[in-house]
Amino acid sequence: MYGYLSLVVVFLVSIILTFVWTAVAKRLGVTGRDVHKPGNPEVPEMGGIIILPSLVIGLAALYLIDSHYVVQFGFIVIVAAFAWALGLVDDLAELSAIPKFVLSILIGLPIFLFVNPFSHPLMVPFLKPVRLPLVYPFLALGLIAGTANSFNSYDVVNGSTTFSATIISLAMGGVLFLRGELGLATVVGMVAAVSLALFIFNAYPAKVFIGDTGSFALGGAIAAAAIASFNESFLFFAILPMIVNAAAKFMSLGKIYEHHKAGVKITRITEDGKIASYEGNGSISLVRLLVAQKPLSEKQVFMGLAVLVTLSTVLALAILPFVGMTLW
Amino acid sequence: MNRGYAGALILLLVSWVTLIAFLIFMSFVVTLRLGKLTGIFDFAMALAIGLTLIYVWYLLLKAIFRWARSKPSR
Repeated sequence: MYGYLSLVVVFLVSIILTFVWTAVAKRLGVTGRDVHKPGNPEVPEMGGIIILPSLVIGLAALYLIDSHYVVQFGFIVIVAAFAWALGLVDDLAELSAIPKFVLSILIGLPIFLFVNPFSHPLMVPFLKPVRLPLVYPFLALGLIAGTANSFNSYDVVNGSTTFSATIISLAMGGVLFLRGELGLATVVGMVAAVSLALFIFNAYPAKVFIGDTGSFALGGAIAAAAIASFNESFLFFAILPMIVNAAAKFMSLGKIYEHHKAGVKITRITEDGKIASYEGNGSISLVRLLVAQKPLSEKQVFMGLAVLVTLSTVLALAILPFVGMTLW
Repeated sequence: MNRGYAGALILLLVSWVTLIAFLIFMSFVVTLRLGKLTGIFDFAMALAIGLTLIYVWYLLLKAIFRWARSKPSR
């Protein structure tokens, strides 16, 4: 019962660490230009670096309260740590798209130390539990890699990824709480707490960018929690806008790319600081679709992305009663 | 409503409905096949339907993007 105190610990630690990191990053010059603001101010980067220490401190607090939960579900933080490390490398070395995608498949490997992929049933709406012993390990790795990369590619305006992670993890934690799975709900709640703390700093106008470190760690943690709690299909439906975004970008260009490196044109910034669609063919993304008719402010684009994720999370909750059961 | 917002919303809802329809169809097929999906035929059928849906979805994406970009007539 007192395990929920660890959520408060994670939230407060995340706030303090983010506050400290913004000061340190400014001093070290770890900053990036916020291209959507007038004058392009320098904003501290890699705020996601605080996710791992916050979660570890949260786990330590949880261990003091109820060690059983930590032994059972601590692996979610281990997967988050692998994703965090990949994000950190990407922030520091700016990996190309293909190596990043291949490495992101490996971040899910620790889950097999705790979840047996050969006997793990896949819970799908309108179907009885499906056992795919030969396919499921690849599905699990793909889900973790896909979620981490989707969160990463959704981080296009201030607050978009941190808001999405908060909403999705809150919904998943709530479902687990109602199911009586208190241990998993607590660990997912910790992810929600750290996402919310980061959102406070990352929301428009951002005081800090979470970087690839943040988006990968949040995506990895949420995907690992979904696998552990048999919520794979909930996660898939909740991140549908992110999947749509990634699929649109990939299919309209026919390749995986890192747009900073590939020089792919998606949007441009108008003189009054609004986001406008690139005039040529380019690649189609959700942001480009949102601004297709007329240029929008960063806040308006954020609202569009936030509404899409909130709606998809509600729709994902709506199909939960049909998971694992047939209609016929 | 801004056509950009409307287009993104339509795309999300169509994707959701398509996925649900695909799952209901697969549920029906599984029932027909006495609860088992085995063999190359079942796999090939699911793959063919999936790829077709993805291609139709891509055509829809392009159509919505073109519609959102075009100036509304007065």
